[in-house]
Amino acid sequence: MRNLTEEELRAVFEKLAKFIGKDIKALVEEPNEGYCFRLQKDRVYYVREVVSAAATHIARHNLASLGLCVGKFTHGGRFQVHITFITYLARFAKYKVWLKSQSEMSFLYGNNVLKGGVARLTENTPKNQQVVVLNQNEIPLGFGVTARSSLELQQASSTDLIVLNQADIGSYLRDEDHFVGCGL
Amino acid sequence: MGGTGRARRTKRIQKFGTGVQDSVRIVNKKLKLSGENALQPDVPFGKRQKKKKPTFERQQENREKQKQAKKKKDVDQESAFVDSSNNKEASRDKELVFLESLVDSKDDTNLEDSVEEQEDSSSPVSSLWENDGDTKKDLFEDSSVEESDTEELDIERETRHLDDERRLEEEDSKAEFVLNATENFVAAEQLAKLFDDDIQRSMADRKSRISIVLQILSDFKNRKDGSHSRSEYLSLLKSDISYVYGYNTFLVEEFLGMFSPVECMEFIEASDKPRPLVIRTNTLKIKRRQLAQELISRGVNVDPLENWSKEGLVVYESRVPIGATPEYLAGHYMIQASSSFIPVLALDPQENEKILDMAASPGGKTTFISALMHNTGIVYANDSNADRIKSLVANIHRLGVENTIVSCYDGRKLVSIVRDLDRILLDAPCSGTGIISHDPSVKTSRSRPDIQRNSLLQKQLLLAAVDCCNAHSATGGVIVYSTCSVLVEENEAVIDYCLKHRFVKVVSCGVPFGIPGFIKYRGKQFHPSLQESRRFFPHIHNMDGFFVCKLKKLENGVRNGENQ
Repeated sequence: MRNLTEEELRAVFEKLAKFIGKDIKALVEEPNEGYCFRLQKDRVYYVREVVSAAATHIARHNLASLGLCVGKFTHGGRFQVHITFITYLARFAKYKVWLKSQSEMSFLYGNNVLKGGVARLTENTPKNQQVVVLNQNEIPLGFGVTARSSLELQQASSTDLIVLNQADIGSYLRDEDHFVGCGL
Repeated sequence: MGGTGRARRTKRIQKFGTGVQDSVRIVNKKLKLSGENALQPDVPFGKRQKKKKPTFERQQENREKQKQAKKKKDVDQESAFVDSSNNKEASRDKELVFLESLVDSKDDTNLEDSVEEQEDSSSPVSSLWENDGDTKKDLFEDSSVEESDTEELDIERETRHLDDERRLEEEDSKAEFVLNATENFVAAEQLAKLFDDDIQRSMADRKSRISIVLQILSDFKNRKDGSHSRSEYLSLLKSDISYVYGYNTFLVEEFLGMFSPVECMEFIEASDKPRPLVIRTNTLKIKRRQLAQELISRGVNVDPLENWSKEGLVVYESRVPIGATPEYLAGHYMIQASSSFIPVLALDPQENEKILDMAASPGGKTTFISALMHNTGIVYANDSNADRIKSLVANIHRLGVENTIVSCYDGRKLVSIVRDLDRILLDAPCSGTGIISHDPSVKTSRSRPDIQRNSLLQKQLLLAAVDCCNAHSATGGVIVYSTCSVLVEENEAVIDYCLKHRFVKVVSCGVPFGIPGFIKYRGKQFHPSLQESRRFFPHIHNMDGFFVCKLKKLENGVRNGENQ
């Protein structure tokens, strides 16, 4: 486990900024002041400093997880956000999509969102924008990328794709292996 | 949700009962009053006036009952066997009839006589049982008439009626059970065949033999036949139980050593039944009331768990898979047996402490600890099995727990890695003899060497746990040991060993129910403070068989020598 290098930190923040925008500072300011980012193997964790200090006792090979997993670095060096960070993404997200109750299960099985399933979309959402997907009760279900802007949405037919699924909370059941880094 | 005043009152009524009749009956029983001397329900005079007057039809009903009883008595004179429990039932019924006669009409003395006669033989009682429901219902109706004068709402009365009916049904089924038992108990011929090895016995035969042997063993002094000893009957019982219920002989022997034969049978039968499905609200994300509303809107029928838990919900029926709803995936609740709430409640975690869960997967208890700490402090979640770590990490993230450090170590080697902890939970790996309803393979797969191996591992783990704990912790210094096994060797014996080798003492778990742990078992003497540990059984508490013991560390270091 170690601190992120400058480059890595930039990669992480650039990715998160696509969801959160300028509010990215909120992750390291009040009321989350004591929080920091830590790299363990290929994964980045968002964790309180006290906890990360206590985790230094644990050998790298035996440490499976600490705090909250933000995502991981792929072999190509890109950063990938994981579904485990959804609570913070949903809290600070700029653009959101609300699903109708009949299409939420379909999304949780990993499918994309069609126009028929969209109840609401944040106004002025551009195309190719990272959005957080919620259901009618404001429970965050996952996140994805818009295939249409909110203006184009009105002209779209009911079977057109609106949001491409990148991650959803159904993966807690579908692939548990996904949550632990390699080597364990 | 038990929040409104009305609901609370219904609950209180359910708990303490309402019937004036009940209390009068108890008093009469204790003082051995009968007939004219017996106390009458203490109802204010004005109200007594309003009471249902004895009508002609009701008196006739009673007379018909007597006639029936007498007829039956004549027919079934031969089987004059009266069970002791039977007797009890009879006397209870007798009192009920008394009361009714008192309530209805005082001059109906014939009834009392007939009741006196009934005590002599068991069979008339059976005829009474047939009418039992009616007579008792009458009683309760009476009491409800009395109470309806006080300000009472319709709903309350309805719920109380339902409650009464349920109680009646229970009593009826008990009576039936005893009745069946007497019927099974036939004649000397069948007794003689008990020990006959040549007969090919079917499943039903064996079941009936079990019930006969159980009866004999429950009152061995009076019912032994002289030629066979108690141990012979016991071996008969063992072979039958292992045949009918599919246990290996080792486990049956262990269970019979722990319980009386009758209780053992109850335990084994309860072990085959599924337990109610319980979920725990994740208080980090949602309140129990909101969760219940969400689930009910999805077509899931839930109710709060008993009083000792603020987080539990019992799921009665569900139209959707309870483990795949959006609420589950969003981490609003965790599917968790009610028994696994108890060790965490006993641990009583405080905010900003350092806590270790030594065998954490799949994370039900770990996340509960974090929820009670409101995500403050540090929770080390350890598990030795790398495969099980995956589900642990997934659950921790799903429930939004942020204060954990998940590690994969052998629990016995943790001493050199994490130290000076405030509290430690050791939910030790065990044989699983308490959760046979989840995993029936336990019935055949556990043998004595397995248990001994488990016991050794548990002792090592517990000593390691005690060593990790800091005796001088300002808030804690507490170790909670729990298993889902009911065997003494995995529970009390382990604690006793630890008491001899470390400076710890057993303290009260702080759980309002459960049965005290064993102090003596098969000639072994354990430390008397083990009374403070708690056992939970499927047939008594309707939860998994479970053992919980809370230890307080007094001093760091190792205790040398024994019995200090």
